[in-house]
Amino acid sequence: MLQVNKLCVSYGKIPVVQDVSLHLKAGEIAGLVGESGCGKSTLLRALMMLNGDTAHVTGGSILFLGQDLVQMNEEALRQLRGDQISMIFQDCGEACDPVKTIGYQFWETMNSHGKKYSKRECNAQASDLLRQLRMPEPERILKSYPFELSGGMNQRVGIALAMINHPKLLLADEPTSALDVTVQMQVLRQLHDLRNTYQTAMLIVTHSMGVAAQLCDLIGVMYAGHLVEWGPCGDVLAHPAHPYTKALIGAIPQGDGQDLVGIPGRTPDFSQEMIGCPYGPRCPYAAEDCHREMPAEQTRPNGHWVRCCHPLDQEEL
Amino acid sequence: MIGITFLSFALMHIGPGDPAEKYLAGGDGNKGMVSEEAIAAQREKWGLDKPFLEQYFTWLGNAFRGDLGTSYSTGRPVLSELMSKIGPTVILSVASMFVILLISIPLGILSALYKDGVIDNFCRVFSFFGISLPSFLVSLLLLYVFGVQLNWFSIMGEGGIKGLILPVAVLAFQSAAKLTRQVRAAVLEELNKPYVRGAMARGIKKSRILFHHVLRNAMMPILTLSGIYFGVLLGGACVVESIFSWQGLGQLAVSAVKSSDYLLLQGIVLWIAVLYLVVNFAIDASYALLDPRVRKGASGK
Repeated sequence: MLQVNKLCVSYGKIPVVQDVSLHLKAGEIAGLVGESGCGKSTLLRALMMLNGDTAHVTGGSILFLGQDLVQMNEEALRQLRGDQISMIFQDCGEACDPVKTIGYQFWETMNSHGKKYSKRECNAQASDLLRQLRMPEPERILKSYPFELSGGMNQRVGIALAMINHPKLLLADEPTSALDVTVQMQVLRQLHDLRNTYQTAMLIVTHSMGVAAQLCDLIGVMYAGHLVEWGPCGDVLAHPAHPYTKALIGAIPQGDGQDLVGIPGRTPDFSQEMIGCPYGPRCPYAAEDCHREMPAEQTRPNGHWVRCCHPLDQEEL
Repeated sequence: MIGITFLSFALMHIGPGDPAEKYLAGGDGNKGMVSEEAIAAQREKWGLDKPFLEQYFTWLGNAFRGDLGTSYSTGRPVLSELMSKIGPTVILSVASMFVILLISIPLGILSALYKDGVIDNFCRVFSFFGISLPSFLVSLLLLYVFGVQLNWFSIMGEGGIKGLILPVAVLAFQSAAKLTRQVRAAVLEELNKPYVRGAMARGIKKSRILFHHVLRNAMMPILTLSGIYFGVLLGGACVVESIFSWQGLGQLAVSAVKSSDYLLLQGIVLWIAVLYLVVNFAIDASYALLDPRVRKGASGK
């Protein structure tokens, strides 16, 4: 359903997303993990062609239901956005107009894609969806303004706004990072339920391996603008093939009193051209050939692949 | 409010000039022709010999009862002098405000939308001149070009609509130059807010985002600024009204200063302050209509 081929996105001359390929089937949930600034959010926005004036897609294609979004004109993209592809933001309260009611924003989203609904129909549909997300008194919420709701409620409103037109693809940019842990769990479970109800494919950006492990069928690991590993959640977590993935898993708190293992060094500077594996300078397993050229993809079973010269062997774990 | 009246009262008393002397000497200011005794008698009659604070509180007490005293120079009650002059000033200010908004809002929006484009650069130059040229210079330039050279307007001042054109042009030119830049900044700020990207992600049409969301939100700072410019206009009226012989409060104020007519000037200051306060109060009240965060008393984000 979604097929991204060798996508490159740059801010000016600085490449931020490089050569990213991935595909997603209907109803699949994929998580994108990586450190701050590795290009996850830029990639996500690029999938909606919503990077503003500063970032540009410089190569590759985004095939969504057979159409290439990169070649599409702005009006056709607008028709897709909020209807076929929608997005949840880290702070959904901020993504709503502060001086309009929640109900107004639902009405507007529903009436911007060719179909016409009356206020009453919009309110009825929005209330149903909010009730599905276990929100109390949906009618009152629709009459409220974003500033009157708590962060968790706004986040669920954001999810409902994104889902109101039953999109085929839902993109979520750190949807739970701003919430406290108990609310986080609820929201994750609700995303899961929505996927089961509407068969929506979801691509979720998170910096938390824990969130990815709970919610996702697939995991992609990004490092310095490259997708370095991709595969089924269980396989990637149990048998990480990229040293960086292994290090990220090592950085999840286990609650068993063991010291957290940080990753030495820092993410590379995007403005400098990189030769060889971008993780090479920080990688404890790096060999001489790692610094010569960009490693090729190596495949593993179950659609699991890794971009590494010396992927970790399964025995090593 | 009371602070303003006190300040202006004090400033007038610190300033030079004795109304009694000027009144008795007539407009030509032929000092020495009037005897010291006559001046002292006149001062006593008007209460000018009393201590400053006593004069102020006497005036304040009368003002609360609606009595602003009698003009020294014309001998008519200050209130009726004001009533006859306030209309023209209000017309001038409101007309200027209207022109200012008519120019600044569209230009500001276009400059923000097409940042660094042709319109934006044109507005930059326009604002540069508007901000740097003083109003008396602009007034004289306009009078010279349209009054003297082209002979479209009488340099002695005109009544009615025709007489409005030049003073409004001067007043509007200055404030519109600044307000255009401020509208541009307000719209640019709103365009960069996360809700704009949010609306884009929901597939809302660009025109709709602009008119229903961005402009609606940008309206609030623009309204506040308009209130401030209304005050600037009332102040600017003094210069412009004198130059264009517009029979309003500003011209009255200038002549009151010339004849050290304390009571008249004090009345004018009071009225202008009231006008300014009323306008700004109306703007604050309209906030509640525009912004639910104000209406519902929430702190907001």
